[in-house]
Amino acid sequence: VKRYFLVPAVVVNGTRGPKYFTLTVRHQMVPGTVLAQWEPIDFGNEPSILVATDISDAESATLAGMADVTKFADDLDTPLGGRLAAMQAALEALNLPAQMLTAATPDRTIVRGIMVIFNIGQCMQGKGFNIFAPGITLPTTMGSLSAAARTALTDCVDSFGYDRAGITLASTVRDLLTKLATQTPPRVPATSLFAGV
Amino acid sequence: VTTYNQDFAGGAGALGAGDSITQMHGTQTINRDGAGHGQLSAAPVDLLDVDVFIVGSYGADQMVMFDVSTWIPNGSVNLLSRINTPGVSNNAYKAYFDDSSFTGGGVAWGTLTIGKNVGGSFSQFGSAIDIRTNPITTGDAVWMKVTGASPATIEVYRRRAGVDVLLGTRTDSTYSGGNLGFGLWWDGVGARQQIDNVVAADIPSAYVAPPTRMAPQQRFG
Repeated sequence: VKRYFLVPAVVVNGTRGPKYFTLTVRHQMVPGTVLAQWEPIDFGNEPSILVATDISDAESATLAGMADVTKFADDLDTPLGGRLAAMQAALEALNLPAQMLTAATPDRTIVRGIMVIFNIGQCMQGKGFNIFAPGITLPTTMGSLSAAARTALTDCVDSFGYDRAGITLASTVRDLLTKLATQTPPRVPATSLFAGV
Repeated sequence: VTTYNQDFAGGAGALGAGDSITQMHGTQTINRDGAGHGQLSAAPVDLLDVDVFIVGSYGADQMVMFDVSTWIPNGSVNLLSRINTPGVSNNAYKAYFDDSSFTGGGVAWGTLTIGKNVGGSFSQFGSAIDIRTNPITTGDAVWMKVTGASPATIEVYRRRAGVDVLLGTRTDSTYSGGNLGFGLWWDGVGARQQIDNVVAADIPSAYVAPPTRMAPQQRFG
């Protein structure tokens, strides 16, 4: 069954990947706690990874039981309902804005928003930056970012064709990421486990 | 469009002046043997990949290809693209083959791993891909095509007897133009991993097959 998880990123002997999943480390397969096939959308230099995985019920339950893992509903159209507070806490802990979520928000909206933000994180990584460099948090204003980091961030947003209208130097990183989270995720191949999200 | 063709013909010895291959990291050099194949010149001091890059003004859509001249157990080859600034930042997309991850090794590579070198570590783009139905062995060519930027699509192919088979596709949103390259990995036991006929080129975004190799006298690096 295709399912989605937010998991911590780990680096094992020079290879970065999602915690609990099988990695290929220096030409050797290192089995994870779960053996399911996985596909990541990495958050760049930030310490979390969105994983799509074709996973059994048993392995899904194992993974969902980990304290540092956030599992999204099997049916992504399920509203958060009673899971709202826990989801908000989990996302905010990872520097992902969650103040806009309500009990009626479906998991699909969250996953799509994370796909957008994480792709921006990857772009920043490719330019040699973190979104959340030391001292930078969601309330940090855009004007407080270094000029180089701000340029890289806006270049990334623009390169994806995302709308950043209304974001000014007085806006916060939260404002920008919140705006991005409502926009369309990048294309993925039809064979991707993220296809159709 | 820049096209690079590296034929290791010419007998044993160091690469010639026209062979503009430079080490990206590691302590080994790529040499050529008496049969005209490229190989590591000596046993690696450790088991790190020995990656090299090909200097060129390559655009965002690019491909790199080479022949697996001699397949050996416990060897591996790397396809590298969009190498950022070798020696300064070794960020690059990377695909490599192994025989160690899935059973069925011994005569071919049955595992493909795709990811990127970034910030000093290798970030894996998903599970290793089981390619035992289309394994890589002596006489095959392997190639990688990277197109687009938002996101980039990385495709890895095997060419056997002129027929291309897509082995795996991954996407990523890190854009970094730059150089192309290849790498060898070898555990230092027994025969040496050999490759030949390295081609690196820009490609139109809609182009599928790699360009025909140029004759050696036409190559330029």
